[in-house]
Amino acid sequence: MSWAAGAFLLLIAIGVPIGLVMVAAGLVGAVSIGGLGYLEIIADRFFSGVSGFVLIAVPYFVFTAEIMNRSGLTERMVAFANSLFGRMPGALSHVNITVSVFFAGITGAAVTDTVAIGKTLIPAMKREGYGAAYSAAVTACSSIIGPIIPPSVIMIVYATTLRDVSVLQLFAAGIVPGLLMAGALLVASGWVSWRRGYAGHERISLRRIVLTGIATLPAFGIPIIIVGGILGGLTTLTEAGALGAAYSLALGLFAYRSLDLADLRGALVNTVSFSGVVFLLLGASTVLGWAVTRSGVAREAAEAIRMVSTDPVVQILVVDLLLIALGMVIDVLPAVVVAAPVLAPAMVSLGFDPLHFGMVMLLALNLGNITPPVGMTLMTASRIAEVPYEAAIKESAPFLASHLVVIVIASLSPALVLWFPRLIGAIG
Amino acid sequence: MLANLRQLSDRLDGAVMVLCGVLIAIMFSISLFGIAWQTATGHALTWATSMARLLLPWIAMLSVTVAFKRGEHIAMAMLAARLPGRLQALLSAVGVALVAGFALALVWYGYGFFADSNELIMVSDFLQVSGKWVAASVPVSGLVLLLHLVQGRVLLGADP
Repeated sequence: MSWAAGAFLLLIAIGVPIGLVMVAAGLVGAVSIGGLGYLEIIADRFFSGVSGFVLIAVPYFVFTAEIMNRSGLTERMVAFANSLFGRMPGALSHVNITVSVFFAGITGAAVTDTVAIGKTLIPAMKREGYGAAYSAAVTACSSIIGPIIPPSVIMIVYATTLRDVSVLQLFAAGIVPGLLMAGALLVASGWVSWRRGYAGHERISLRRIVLTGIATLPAFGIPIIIVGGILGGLTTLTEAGALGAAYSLALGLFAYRSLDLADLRGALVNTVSFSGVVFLLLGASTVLGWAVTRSGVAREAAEAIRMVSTDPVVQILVVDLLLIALGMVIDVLPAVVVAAPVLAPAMVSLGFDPLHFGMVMLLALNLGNITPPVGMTLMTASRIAEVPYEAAIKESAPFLASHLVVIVIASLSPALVLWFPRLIGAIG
Repeated sequence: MLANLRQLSDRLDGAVMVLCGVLIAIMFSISLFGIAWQTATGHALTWATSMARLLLPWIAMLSVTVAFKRGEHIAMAMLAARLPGRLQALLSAVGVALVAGFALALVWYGYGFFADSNELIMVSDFLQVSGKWVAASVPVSGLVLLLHLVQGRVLLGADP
């Protein structure tokens, strides 16, 4: 298996697509276990990894996000969020975070949320006197709430890769940590805004809240259909995905009247292309997972963690650090499929709850979206703000600290993470 | 010769993109019809699930080639980008060779997988579809990817 690990690290370092690296490492591992004859697992395993019924939801969720991002939804949500903060210093910074929470319930992908929100809010923040780097930082750091509050593609990928927790359970478990992230970011934003004297807006007006709220209301139908449908046991994941896509299409075409044929074509092209990225990783993770399961590397990982400490608090915090370090160099989606088959069984064998650890893993890896050197979301935001990436990294510090606090809280409080899944009966 | 092959690869990619779009639209329509049917009658439409199972592997496998053609698969390119030009070119050649190996493996082992697929997929009481129809998505996608190899480093995310 050390051959597989060596091949894996070398190929990743030289810039080979990570899905391909996982296939190669999985095959090297398979050959080292059973000889060249085991190469044939590639067809069967890869096919099995991409053909699970639940994965029908992947293109549906991607399509919903694409449609909503093209429907002029951002402006309506910004107007509504704007009406909530009034004269509070740094109102627009808080608006940015609040809109990210709204978007999280609709799309659930950090980079697309950053583009949609950043293109509207970063120029507006710069006009109001916020630093460009700060504007990029708050946009990127709040967009990473997207993959934590359902719906979430990385949760579907995690549940498909591991199969010991369901998508429903992960969706339910993501809500409290997602809202905690938003709360922690608002505290950081308030502190920075107060210290720097960022401006507030006009006084809060109930009439404005109602008017902008009504204009935004139809968009909240999407989280109600998707999240409410699944968590309420009314629909399956795939049904919710299909209904969400149909609703977003109807909203863009008939209610907002903001979609044309070019938008639909663009949305479909991006849906196919991004689904391809997800499916390569899913197929590859099944090939690699086959070799990992047979190699006993998960057992070795558990032993290694136990050698560090027998204290569960230390164990989970060490694993958090490991995951954050992994997220710093690998994008969150491939990081999930790489780390989950090794670390999740190891942690479960050490006594951790699979759902609690799954959520902690997603939170820690998700941080990789905004940490250097490969913080894709922060890079995207700094490009929109036209500031050097390094400047945006510096301004991210208070928000990064907020996220770290949430990760530690979630790691040490399984009861908090599992409270909502228990409340709705998703777990016993 | 290479220019002609690249043109062929572009056209095939366009056709695959249209096919994926049509398959997603069909799967989407079937899903919505299944929901409407269940709501109206209280009974699940079993063939809707089976049909979606027939379509998903094709969408998945073909979309992988679409993402390759557009150089969109996620890679960690920062380290390689800092290396001297010649070394970068060498590493790109290694990357393209790996894509070629992957495509060949999909064709070679995928054909065996296709030939051995003897299961029957029950669409309804009266309609059964051979598993070969779905398994064929593996070698066919391998063939598509093989043709896209003429795009070279573009498959790894380099500018065309």
